[in-house]
Amino acid sequence: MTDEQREQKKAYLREWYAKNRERQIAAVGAWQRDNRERANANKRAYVERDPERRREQANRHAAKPEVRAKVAARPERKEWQKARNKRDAEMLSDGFVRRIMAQHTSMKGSDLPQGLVDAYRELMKLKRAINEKRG
Amino acid sequence: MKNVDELRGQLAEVFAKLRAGEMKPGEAAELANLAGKMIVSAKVQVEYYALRKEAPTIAFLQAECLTPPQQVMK
Repeated sequence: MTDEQREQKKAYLREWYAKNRERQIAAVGAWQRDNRERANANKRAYVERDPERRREQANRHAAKPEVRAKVAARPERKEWQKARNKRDAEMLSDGFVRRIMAQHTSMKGSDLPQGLVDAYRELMKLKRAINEKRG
Repeated sequence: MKNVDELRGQLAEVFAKLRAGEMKPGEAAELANLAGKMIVSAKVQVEYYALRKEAPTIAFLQAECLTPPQQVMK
């Protein structure tokens, strides 16, 4: 295939997508709903393949005016998230402890062995008690 | 102290003694500091093997390696 033919094909596909965009998105959505497990596996594989790109996409999405407006229209969700974070910190939930432990490392919280997380939770409890006693 | 489970047990003991007033905060802080060093060194070891894509048995974590990893609730 020559460069010119490649360009022609690209242009044709772009045009086709512009015409069929809605139908295509609906078809993919329907397939994802019908094949939830495979769709989730595909999504996970995509994130693992290129986490940086996924993060950029998420940031771009969050920066869209309509998304920001949607978030702003639901302040109770933000409050709920704040309350949940506070509760997690107070209760030393697994996710919270793992997140703290994984800070400044190349690991994710989920990479840490449970025994180590439990020991760190105990240590955090002890440190809190020490600070409380010291006032 | 041979593994992380024993360390956790000892920390719980120190916590109970501190709460009961049987141990001074300064003494408990020293023990907490030492325990922190042990946990961090084990964490560094885990990270090192993760970066090398190796999964050897770490003696200090062995007790809990015998059980399947728990599901992480986020």
